[in-house]
Amino acid sequence: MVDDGPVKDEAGDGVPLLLDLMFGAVALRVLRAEVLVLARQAGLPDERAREVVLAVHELAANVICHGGGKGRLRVWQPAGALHCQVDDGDLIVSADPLASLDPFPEWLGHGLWIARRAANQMRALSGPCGTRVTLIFKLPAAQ
Amino acid sequence: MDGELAITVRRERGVVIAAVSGDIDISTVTRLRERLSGLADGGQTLIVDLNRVTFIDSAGLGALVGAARRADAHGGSLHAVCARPQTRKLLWLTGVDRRIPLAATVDGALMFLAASRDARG
Repeated sequence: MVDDGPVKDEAGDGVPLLLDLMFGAVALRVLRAEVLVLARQAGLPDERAREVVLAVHELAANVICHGGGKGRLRVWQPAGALHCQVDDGDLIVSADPLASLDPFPEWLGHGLWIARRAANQMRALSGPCGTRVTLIFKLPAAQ
Repeated sequence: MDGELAITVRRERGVVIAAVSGDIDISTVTRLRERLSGLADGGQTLIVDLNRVTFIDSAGLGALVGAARRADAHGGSLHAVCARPQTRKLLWLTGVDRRIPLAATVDGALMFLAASRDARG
């Protein structure tokens, strides 16, 4: 769905992307509305879906306030989970993302704290090309 | 999920009530912060009614806490009204509810304030 060229990119994990959105300050309301629809469609109850929205919003707001001012949100849904990945600026993924792992603790603000509390799992990678945070939300088991 | 931020201010039983509606996020929080700061600087008892707020983020919480601090510094106080479970949970999770007294309705907040005034004599 997204051509990232020859570099390795875990976004999608082999399943189609549900959302691939470039965002700036003016589009955060749109971003929230899109994420709410996807979280509900993924089977999350309304209250949990709104927690997903808040968590993803906080990451995006962080990018706008403290990052490059614009970023990219990608959402995909492998079995049993909803993955929401926010990239800061024009991040180019290295062949081995862990090779450039360089945590910036000061980047963690209140918004990230909220996001980490809301998500079942949070992965963060920082490197010379920018920062990538992936939030993973468990989905209720199919009936 | 949609809604422009709107703030209307009225006075009831000697208390300033700021009713906020719409989304509070990084694009609207400056307007909220400025309005609440102005009210807090008056040293009055201030109730911020969040019941028609459709979304609030950490920047919005920061504006509330900042206004509460300002109100205290000017001899006033700030109270919040919120019945929405999602917002109440966020206020609890972030500890904001330990800094800002919370009621579910404006009437509840007014009664709480009247009772605490009576208790002080």
